[in-house]
Amino acid sequence: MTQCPECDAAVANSAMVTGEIFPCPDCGTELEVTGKEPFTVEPAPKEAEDWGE
Amino acid sequence: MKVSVVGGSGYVGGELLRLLARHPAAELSQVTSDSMAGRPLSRAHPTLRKVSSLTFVPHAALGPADVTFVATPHGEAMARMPELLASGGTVIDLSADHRLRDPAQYPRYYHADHPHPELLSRAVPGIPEFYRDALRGASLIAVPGCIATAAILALKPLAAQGWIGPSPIVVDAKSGSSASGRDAGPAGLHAERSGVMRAYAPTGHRHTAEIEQEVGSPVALSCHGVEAVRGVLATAHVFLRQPVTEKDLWRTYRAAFGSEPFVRIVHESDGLYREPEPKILAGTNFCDIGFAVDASRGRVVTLSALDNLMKGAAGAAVQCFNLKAGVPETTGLDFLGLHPI
Repeated sequence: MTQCPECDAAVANSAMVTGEIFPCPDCGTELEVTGKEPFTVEPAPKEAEDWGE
Repeated sequence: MKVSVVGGSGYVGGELLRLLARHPAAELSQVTSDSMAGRPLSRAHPTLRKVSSLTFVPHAALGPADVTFVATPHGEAMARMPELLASGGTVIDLSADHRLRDPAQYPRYYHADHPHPELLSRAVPGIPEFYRDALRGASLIAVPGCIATAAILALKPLAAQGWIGPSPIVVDAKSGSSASGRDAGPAGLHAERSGVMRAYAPTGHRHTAEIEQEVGSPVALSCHGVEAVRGVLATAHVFLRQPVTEKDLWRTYRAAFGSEPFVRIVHESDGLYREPEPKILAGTNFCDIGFAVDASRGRVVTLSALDNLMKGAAGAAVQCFNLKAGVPETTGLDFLGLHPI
């Protein structure tokens, strides 16, 4: 069990492997599993968007 | 429970009938409308074809019921309320006639004195998220206006934290055409309404008083009509007393609404629908609430979306009815919406 770094929602999934990416159930941020013992996550790297700015 | 609907020919009345027609705890006994008396309900509300064989009856023919829903135009329920309450049942008033606790607000916002100001303190606001226990025992329930509901749900948790500064909260609301009712007059003509983006109440909108009453801060409300039949999007600009982070907001809204069946926190980092949008809420009883922090201006922007006929009126009324009836709060309100729509 850990918390989403963006919204503090509780996130846990014992079946996941390190490197796996999943969305936060509350804010939808894609999180990457960075450790199993203890369970840790970080925002997954994503491609930057450019809407013509 | 035996239920009646007073003023059932309008859009809110029709939405009530749609929800009550197959509600397992409601036995629909009478629906009144002087203008439609003697005609089948489906004449006004085509979705009720082959669903109900009832016809409208005149207001004068109304008999007692366990719960009476009142969906008359503003100003009509206040005169009849003592008579309606005397029958001993619960009255759920969807008009504005019992929303304001301070009688002095009625001349200001409704241009008339309230004939029975003693009833105003008895009315419980029809907001289950904040008045659930009181609603179970209430004999008079006053369902807030659609824009007010959207704004109150977003703002009251922030007020409870003491975060709102002394500046007025600026609320900018957009609403669909059904919010102005079935008798909107020339403003509702297709030629006038199509393509509209109209500031119909830049100041002085009646829901201002309802929001201020619940939130406890001055509110500067501006309302616009947009190209939609259903839907309200209320954008509130809150100038803060102290710095607040997005995580603070997540924690606050999660604490307020995490267990609520009809309020969803919508503030996502990806996808098309990252913040609340009324379009996908048509026909549902949800109010979706989102937010953003503008640290450089000491401002939080809240966004709340709902269907004005549902969570903004009939859906909220049925949610209150469910509390009175002792059935699950979601009974009859489980439609999830359509997408695409």
